[in-house]
Amino acid sequence: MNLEVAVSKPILIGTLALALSFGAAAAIVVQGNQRIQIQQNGVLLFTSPTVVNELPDISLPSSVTTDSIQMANGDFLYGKLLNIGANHQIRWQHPDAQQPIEFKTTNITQIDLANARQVDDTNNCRVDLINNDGLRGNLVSCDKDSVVLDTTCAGQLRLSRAMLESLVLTPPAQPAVFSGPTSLEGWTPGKSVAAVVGESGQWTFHNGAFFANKAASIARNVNLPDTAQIEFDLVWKGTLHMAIALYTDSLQPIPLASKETGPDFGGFYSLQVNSSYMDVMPIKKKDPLKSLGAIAVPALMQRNRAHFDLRCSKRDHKLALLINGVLVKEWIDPDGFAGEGTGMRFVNQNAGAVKLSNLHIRPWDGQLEQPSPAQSHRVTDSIRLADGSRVVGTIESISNGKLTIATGSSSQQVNLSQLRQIDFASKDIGANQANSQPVKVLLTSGNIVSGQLQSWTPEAMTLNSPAFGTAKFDPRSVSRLQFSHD
Amino acid sequence: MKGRRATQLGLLLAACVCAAVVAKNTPPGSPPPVSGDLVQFLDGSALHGEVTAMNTNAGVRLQNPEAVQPISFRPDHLDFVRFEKAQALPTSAETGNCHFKFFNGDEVFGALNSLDDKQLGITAWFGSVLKIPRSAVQSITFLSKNYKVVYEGPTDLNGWSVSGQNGTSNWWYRDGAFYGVSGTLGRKLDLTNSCTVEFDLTSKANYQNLMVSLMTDTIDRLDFGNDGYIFTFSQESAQLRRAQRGVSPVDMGTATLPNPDKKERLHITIHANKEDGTITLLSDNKVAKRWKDNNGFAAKGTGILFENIGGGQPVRISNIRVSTWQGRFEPDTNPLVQTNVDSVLFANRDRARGQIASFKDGKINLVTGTNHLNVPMERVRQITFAPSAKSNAGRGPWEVRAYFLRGGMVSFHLANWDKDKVSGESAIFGPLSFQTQTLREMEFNLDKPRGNQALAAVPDEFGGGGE
Repeated sequence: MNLEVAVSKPILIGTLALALSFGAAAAIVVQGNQRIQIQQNGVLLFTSPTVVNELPDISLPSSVTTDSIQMANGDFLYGKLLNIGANHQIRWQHPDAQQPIEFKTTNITQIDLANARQVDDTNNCRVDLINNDGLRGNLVSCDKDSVVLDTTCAGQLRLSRAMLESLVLTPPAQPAVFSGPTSLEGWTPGKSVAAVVGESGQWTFHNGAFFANKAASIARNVNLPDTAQIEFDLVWKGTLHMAIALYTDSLQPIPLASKETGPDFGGFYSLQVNSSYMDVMPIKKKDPLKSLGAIAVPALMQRNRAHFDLRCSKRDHKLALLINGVLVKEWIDPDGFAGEGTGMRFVNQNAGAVKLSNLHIRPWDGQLEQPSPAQSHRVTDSIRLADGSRVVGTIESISNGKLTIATGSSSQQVNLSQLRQIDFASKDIGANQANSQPVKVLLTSGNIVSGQLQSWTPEAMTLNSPAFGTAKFDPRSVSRLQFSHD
Repeated sequence: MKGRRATQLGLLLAACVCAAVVAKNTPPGSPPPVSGDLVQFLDGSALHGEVTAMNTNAGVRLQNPEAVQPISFRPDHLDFVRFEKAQALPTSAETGNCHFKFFNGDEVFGALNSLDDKQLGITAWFGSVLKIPRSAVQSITFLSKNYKVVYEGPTDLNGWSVSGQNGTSNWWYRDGAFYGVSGTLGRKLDLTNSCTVEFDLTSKANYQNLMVSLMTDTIDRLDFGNDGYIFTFSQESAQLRRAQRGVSPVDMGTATLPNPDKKERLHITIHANKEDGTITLLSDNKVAKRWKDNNGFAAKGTGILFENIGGGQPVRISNIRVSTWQGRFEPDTNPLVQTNVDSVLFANRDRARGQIASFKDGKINLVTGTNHLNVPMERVRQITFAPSAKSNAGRGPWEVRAYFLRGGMVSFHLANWDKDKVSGESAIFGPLSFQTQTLREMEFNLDKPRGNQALAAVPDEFGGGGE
């Protein structure tokens, strides 16, 4: 899903979202035409012409050790999913139940499974479907009707081209320059200067994650590459309010209000991460504070966890933020790249609790995936190449490492090593059918596939999808089953 | 009680997510309606349905509408069971005007029948005649003779007036609590005398977002033109204003609420003493402030009204109990003064210490040194007993605490619960039996800590600590 698509969705905030997690002194005001204002203590912080109202829910608690089943009325139970039969009855083991429980699926909304998020870097391909489903795998072949993808979760899947929106070939993942955290060693604690006196604390390490229950700072020289991909997971309780310093040479927080009178420091970027909006500020000594442009993300108000994916390019003076796989905003610094160090600093600026985990930093090739054209504009197939060029035509096949595309009366062959992305022509296959599948399956890779759940056993989950027909999935690759009862 | 309230707030918030999709006839942001008894586990999970049996053989048997067969749960990780169809005994069945507290945490309302150096005899409001070892009794508080519970709940929205801007209502009921995001919630009550209003206030807001209008005649909006008193609460403080027809509201001052642990749930008690012209505010049974209205008691209405004044944070109001009384016998305004001797607090607030020898012919016999004081019961406000050696015996999962409508809670080893009768044995009351319908809630695993669960239907990764 790209930003334009996200923005075109109806605004869902309102009482519900406000009731969920909005900060005490902050307020969000919806204007006409989907403009949004963020106010704090009655002061207008910014007006955002674009907002991100929807984010896929791809991040699950990493510490889940038991499954859970949730019902439409809010009831839920922990335990273990034993099986789901052809009659759609769910057998559930609860540790205190004398017998396995059989539930009807009538009012079951969700089952979460104790399978941790896993990123398989060996896949070279991501396929996005027209119903917002997606899959990762290795591209095997393509013909006029289908694309064959070899997946770790379900083996080879033959995907109907009519259901495909795009196919993105991802270059082999570069080795991480940092993966952690694994302990507090090597990190430098600091007192959050945003904290009220007496309210600051320290980050702690536990079970593969940093925790801050009070305002706190922690920093490290992570040797950020000039073009970098920075991924991490955040979980929060209460209002989220963090500042993340990028390309800093200071391991101690910089009080922005008094930066001119404090110790010298090299320039850096401050990513402001809040429950409802994101902002980036280049911070340099003797330069006035300025924002590169904030973006309202009310979709985060309905969450308490998210996967962050930052892309940074010194060459292009660019920072981009993806949350749960959705490109939220790209920032270009018109004054050049401000970052002068190679460190990062995570500052919890709130009394709310924050958990930081799965921090992975890799070199990045500097290319962001481009959003697919809107459905009405995808009248033909098109491909994008590594050099940025685009070829429009009809893809005939992919085989033997080459893609063949018909352009007018001739055909052109492209080496797959040069191919970055395919945008498939939109077919009139009835979007309603594609979108009205009764079960959405969240995979541990973060992708979602939907269809009709035929059965679940500890050995296999059988799913019938309009995209790939009937397939057996490895249950260990499934994080969540969401049931729709429309 | 403790952490489970925050758990329920978490459940509410989690359920709100479902609400946007499911609920069609409920206020925006409210969770879908639920019905039935509630079985709540210590891990925060919960199921509704109909509890059909509870005993050591069957476990806690629940017929959940989504389950094909009744489910039998062992009680090892149960937090509590809340009963949907609890009914108080008819008012005529209530006897006496004493509030008994016991060292094991139990509380019973009823009549004092007898007292000597060995035993206390009472008739409880829920109908049982009980003999209790004197060593188990912590205190006896004598309530006003006209003490009457006029409301206890909530059990639903019936009788309440809900209103908000543009006709939209943002208060809703779920599982024994009201939740409000904005707008007002009011009810007419018969508050013509002095009264006590108690409720649990749960909120995450660090600003004032709840107003409580006391003894108001306007129950569909907050009316500063009504003769009465209006509190504005945050989790840290409460401001009292005197409202009077034709006059601007008068700020009577702000009290800091005793809340050193920054709990999200506070038990609020307001005693409005018409005779004295005082309003006393307690937070978690500690006096926050006592206001004296030198212009005389202003309130003339008979109802109460809650308003969430906005800001986005929901409030949860639960365990509401409104009682009326006459005279100067404010119930339990003073915290218990526990010493190693017995003591008697008199109506004039004098206190005498010694040993309570007996209760006979309407008089308390207090031995102070070599003196024997025979004090008419009408002059006694509270008796506090010297503590005895505390029992450290562990309590198993079937050791439950039953909460009664009309007040009171009793712990005992549950033998059997069915639709008509509950039976068991208490270490201090002996064999117990009472009508099932009088129970509103039964708590299990009394010795196990109640953590604060996450604000969603997932395990808390932060280790609790909110309440």
